[in-house]
Amino acid sequence: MKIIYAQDNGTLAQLVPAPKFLATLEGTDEEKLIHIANKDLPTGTPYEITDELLDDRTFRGAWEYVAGADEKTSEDLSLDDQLKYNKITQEEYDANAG
Amino acid sequence: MSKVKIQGHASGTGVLTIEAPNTNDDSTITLPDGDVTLGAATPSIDDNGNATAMTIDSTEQISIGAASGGARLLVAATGNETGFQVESSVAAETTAVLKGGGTGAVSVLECRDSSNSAVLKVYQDGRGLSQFTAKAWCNFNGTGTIAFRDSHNCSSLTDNGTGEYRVNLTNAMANTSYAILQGQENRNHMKTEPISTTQFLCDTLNNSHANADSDNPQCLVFGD
Repeated sequence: MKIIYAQDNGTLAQLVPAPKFLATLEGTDEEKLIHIANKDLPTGTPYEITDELLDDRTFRGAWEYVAGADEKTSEDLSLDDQLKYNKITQEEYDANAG
Repeated sequence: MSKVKIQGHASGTGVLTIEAPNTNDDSTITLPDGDVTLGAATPSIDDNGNATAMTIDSTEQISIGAASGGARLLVAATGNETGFQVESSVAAETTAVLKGGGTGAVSVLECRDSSNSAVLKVYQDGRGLSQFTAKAWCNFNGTGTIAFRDSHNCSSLTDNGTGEYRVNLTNAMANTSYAILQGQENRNHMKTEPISTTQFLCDTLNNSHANADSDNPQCLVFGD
C-alpha cells in the first residue's frame, strides 16, 4: 500500500513506506499509513491510500491525482509523536503540553 | 549471668594472644548469639561499610573510588588507571551486554566528555548518535514500483516524478546543515540536498543532465 497526493505542480506523487519503519507501527495497515501521512506529509495535504500498481513510468510526468471517495487529509502528529521523532525539542514539548 | 569460656586446642602448640590497642578508653566486644567461626564465614563486603575503596550506601548504590553514588554502580578511576574493564576468555563469548528497558529513543549507552556532554549515544531503537556515525542510509529501487531495498532511520520514500525522489527521515535532524553522500549504478550523476530536517532530495540524472529513473540509488546521511 502507498499514499498518493497532488504536488503543487499538479503531478501525482506517491509516498512508499519503509518496511523497517512500518514494522515499528501498531494498528491496521490503513492506520499505519495514516500515521505515516501525518508524519511525512505537510499538515492539511489531501491524500489517498491505495494499493494500485503504479509501475509503468513511461509517461510519469503525466500522472495526475484525482480525488476519490476515500480521500483523507493529513493532520498534525500528537505532541508525544512529535517529540519521539525529534520534530520538537523537550522544551517545546513542555511548553505545549502544559 | 552467661559466661565467657576461652578454650585451647588439644593438638596445636601455638599461643593465641588477644592484644589490647593503645588506648585509654574502655571498649567492649559483643559476640553474636550463635555459632560463628571467624574467617571463613565473615562476609567480605558489608552493607554498613563506608570505606574509601568501596561504599554501599543506604539506598544500596555502590561506589568504588568515589564517596557517593549517583548510579547503581559508580566506578571512579584515579590517576592513569582504567576505571572499568570487562574481559572474556572464550573467543565466541559475548564480552558484555547492555540491555535497555524498551525499544525507543532512549540511551542504552552514553559516552560523555569531562563536561558531562554526550559524544556518543546508542539508542534502544538501534541508532548510534554521534558526529561520526551515520544518521540515516538507504538503498532503493527508483524504477517500476519504487521501494526501499533496505534503510535505516528512513520512514518513507516519495516519488515526485521521473528521477525525482525524496527520502523522509524517521527521526528529524537537528538542523539542515547535514551532509548527504550518494551513489548509483546506471546514471550519470545524482543531485541531492537537504530540503528540511525531515526530508532530503535525491534526484538521478542522465548524461544530458535530465532527470532519469535509476534502479539503485543509495544515500548516506551524516550531521547533527
